[in-house]
Amino acid sequence: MAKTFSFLAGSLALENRPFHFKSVEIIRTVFDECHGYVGYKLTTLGRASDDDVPSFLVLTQEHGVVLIDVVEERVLEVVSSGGGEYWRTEDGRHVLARDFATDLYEEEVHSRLKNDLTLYDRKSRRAKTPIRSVIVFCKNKQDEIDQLIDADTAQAVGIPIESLQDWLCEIPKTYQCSSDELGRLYALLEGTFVYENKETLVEEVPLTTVNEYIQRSLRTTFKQDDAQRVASMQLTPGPQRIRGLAGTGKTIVLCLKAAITHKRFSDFKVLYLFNTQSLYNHVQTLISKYYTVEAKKAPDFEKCVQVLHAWGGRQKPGLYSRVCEQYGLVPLTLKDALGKGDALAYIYKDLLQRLGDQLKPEYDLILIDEAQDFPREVFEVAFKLAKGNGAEKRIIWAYDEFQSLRDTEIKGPSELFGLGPDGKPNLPDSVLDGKYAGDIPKDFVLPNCYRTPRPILMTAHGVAMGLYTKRPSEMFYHPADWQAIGYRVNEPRALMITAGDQVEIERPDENSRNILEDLLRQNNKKPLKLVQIEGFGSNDEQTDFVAKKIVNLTQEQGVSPDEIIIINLKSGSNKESMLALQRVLTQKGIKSVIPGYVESADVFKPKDHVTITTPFRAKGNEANIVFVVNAQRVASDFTLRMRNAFFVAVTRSRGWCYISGYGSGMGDLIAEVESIKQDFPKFRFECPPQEVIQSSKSFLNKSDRELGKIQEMLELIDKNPELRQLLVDRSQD
Amino acid sequence: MRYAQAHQGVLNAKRILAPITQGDSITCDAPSRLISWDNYKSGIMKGRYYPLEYQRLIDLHQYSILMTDGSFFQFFYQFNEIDVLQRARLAYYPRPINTVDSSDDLMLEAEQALDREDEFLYEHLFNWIELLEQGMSIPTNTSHIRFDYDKFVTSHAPAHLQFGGVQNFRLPANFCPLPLAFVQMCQALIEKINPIDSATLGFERNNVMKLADQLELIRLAAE
Repeated sequence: MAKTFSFLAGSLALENRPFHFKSVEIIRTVFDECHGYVGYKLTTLGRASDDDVPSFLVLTQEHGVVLIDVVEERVLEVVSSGGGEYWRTEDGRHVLARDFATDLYEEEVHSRLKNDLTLYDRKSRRAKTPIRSVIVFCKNKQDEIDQLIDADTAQAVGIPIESLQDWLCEIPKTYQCSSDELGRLYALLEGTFVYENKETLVEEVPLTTVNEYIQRSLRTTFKQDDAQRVASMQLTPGPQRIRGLAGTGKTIVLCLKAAITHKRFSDFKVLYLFNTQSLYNHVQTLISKYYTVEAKKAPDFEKCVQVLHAWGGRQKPGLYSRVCEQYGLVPLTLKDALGKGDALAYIYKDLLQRLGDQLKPEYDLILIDEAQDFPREVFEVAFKLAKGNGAEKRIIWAYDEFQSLRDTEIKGPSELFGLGPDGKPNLPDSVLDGKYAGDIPKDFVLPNCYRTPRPILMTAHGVAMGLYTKRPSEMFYHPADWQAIGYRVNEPRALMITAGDQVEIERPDENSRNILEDLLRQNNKKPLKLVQIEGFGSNDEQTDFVAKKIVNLTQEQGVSPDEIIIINLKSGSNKESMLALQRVLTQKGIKSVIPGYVESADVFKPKDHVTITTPFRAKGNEANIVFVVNAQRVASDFTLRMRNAFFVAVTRSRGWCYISGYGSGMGDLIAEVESIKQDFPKFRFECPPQEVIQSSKSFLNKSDRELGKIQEMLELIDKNPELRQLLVDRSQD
Repeated sequence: MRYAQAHQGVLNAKRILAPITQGDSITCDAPSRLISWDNYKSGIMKGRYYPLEYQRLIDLHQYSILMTDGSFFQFFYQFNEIDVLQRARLAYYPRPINTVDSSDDLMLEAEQALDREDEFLYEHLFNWIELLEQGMSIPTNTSHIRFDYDKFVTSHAPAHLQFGGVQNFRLPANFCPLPLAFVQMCQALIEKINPIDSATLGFERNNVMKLADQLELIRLAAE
């Protein structure tokens, strides 16, 4: 059973507050069975400083809101001055009286609740949600406390820490709100309500066209799920990895971490590093939206929160160009890096060679989005730029889980962050083991997919891993790894899955947040039709099918052409095949673009145009309708590259996905997809031995030339039965 | 020439170019008597390096017909409410073609330029030699060709032929052609086009817009 009461540690792990940790333990014990969470200084609700915020905010379905402020130091007396009340503490400081501060904060909670009439009664001007406050003294006795807090004026009660448990137990469990109401409470108090797509009142029309279904499915309000919330609201005192598929909310989690850190530690310097140019505005907007409401001012993108592309262009600074400028280096240009393999790896390697140990730690927090796209040189530079020593460096990177298919394995910290002067890894893999204080996992997994409907996602996973073939290409032997990508292992019920086991794995409905599947079911339509696969006799027939389908979608089903992308899996002469497809579309009056081949690479999904592209260029993009064409080589491709490309292509869709190809190769793929659909929403297969997986994957690391040769050889064997016989004879010798 | 004829003219061009058409953005708006292309943006880029100009127009889909060889045509005609042609623009943008000079050729020229103390040419050539030798880039000297008509212009001839690379050079004409006639002018530049012979151009010949005779350089022969 999943835990229902969580702890959002915020920045607590970064601070030395022993009584706070003690209080948290008490709170967690008392509320263990409740539904909700306790958060440390989660949000200032727009108050100027964190000092004005009570230590803990508890939200539960059973109790409503409980504010708990923990006073670590001994308080001597109350001093009134200039319209405020202050406490003098034993170390001689004067602080704002906590009961006064907590009362003010309680008012802010009140104001937030006013935004939602299910939580607030306008007539009586009272919140429907109960709000309670308590000030917990750690070094004062009850009689002293009664002197400090005037029970007649203060809303909050004062108690010594010894009484906390009893006080909490006595709160009546009478609120009992719905989980939907709890969700709204979360969003309002955390400030994430700014990300909701404000729903203007729309009349409910019966759904008929494809577009109506998709638009309805996109209209749901954004709500952070528990995993995202926990990941965003925790600031770690060292490295952390966030894993998740495309569409699980990695970017929003990193943006919230950036905004919260900026709010909480205004002198911190934060770096947000990413790889896709188009993310620039998106990231800044996400950070601003949250920060502006919470801090009542705009974030400082100049000095404090630097959102940088890894390289940078002429107009927009990147980390590379900025570092070069700072250290007076002439930056290499794209031209210099041409033909040198991975261009980013080349320039960062050059940077390390030229500057190496001169690079000075500069950032208090480094967030790396799309980490799977970066070569290790970038991580090494990030390591050098982060303040602190080794495992104290606050570097948080978001990794797309399924990249483990492209590489043989997900790269661990020891491989990413380079070697120290002693030849040992800068960060050993063990830095991701276990948890930080405050129950913060060092390796965090976001299991819920928001973009891709479940039938499409499972088709993509099933084919990419080859689960329904004789030679699967990927297998997770630990149930936790399945959980990480949003599946539950039904059989075998064991800690490990071993070769030969009959495996049953299910994708629970709640891990796919795209509601299209439900919408279709409610309207007596078949959700499995979201994925359709068809084989044709010739390329012309395939092209004709795609063109006709697009005409139907745009003219009958209300789909806008720019919400359609066609992804061509053909390797080799793919330009000519895309141009040919475009000509047929032109003849049917459908306009299209081929970014990177005709138009520039960034001309993606322009208005009124269908986008024709390759899996590589489609990465990071999404569309309501995706056509995956020329899939005839997927099933037979021994290198697995086709299966990877297939995965990337299919998961671009947030609505329907049409897979097609021509020739004899399609039969196997159709059979695979149909068996996946048959077992939906489960996978049933026999667990393959590790050696099979290893040998399947062994081709991933070979160069294109080697693979080309092997391919030639295989074709030769296919064409010559006598050669085949020769091989069989030989292997028997 | 009236709107109806320009409309027919553009359809003729479309039909002839159909076998080599890659993209088609032609729009014909009868109520406003306008022949143009989708998302029409006015103005031309001046002083831009041609490959950049070409790519920018492709990205913004500023063409009537894009052809399989990557070149494209623009056809634009605007008539007023009493069906009199106000402005027209017919342009052909070839795909940028690399020059064929080797770096040795350029080096020789550069040295000679230096002898003549022509520092501008020397610098220019020398930069290109560097790029050529790194295998980075090859210069092009392609440019677009266009036929403009503007009823109200006074500073130069209302109808003229012009070349993208040489901004202020205009060959005045005493006519404004229909699209297919312009296509025929350019046909030698287009790959895989079916030759357009004069016989095909009957409609174009009969409906060309003739202007009052001045001292034009290009003129239609009297028939």
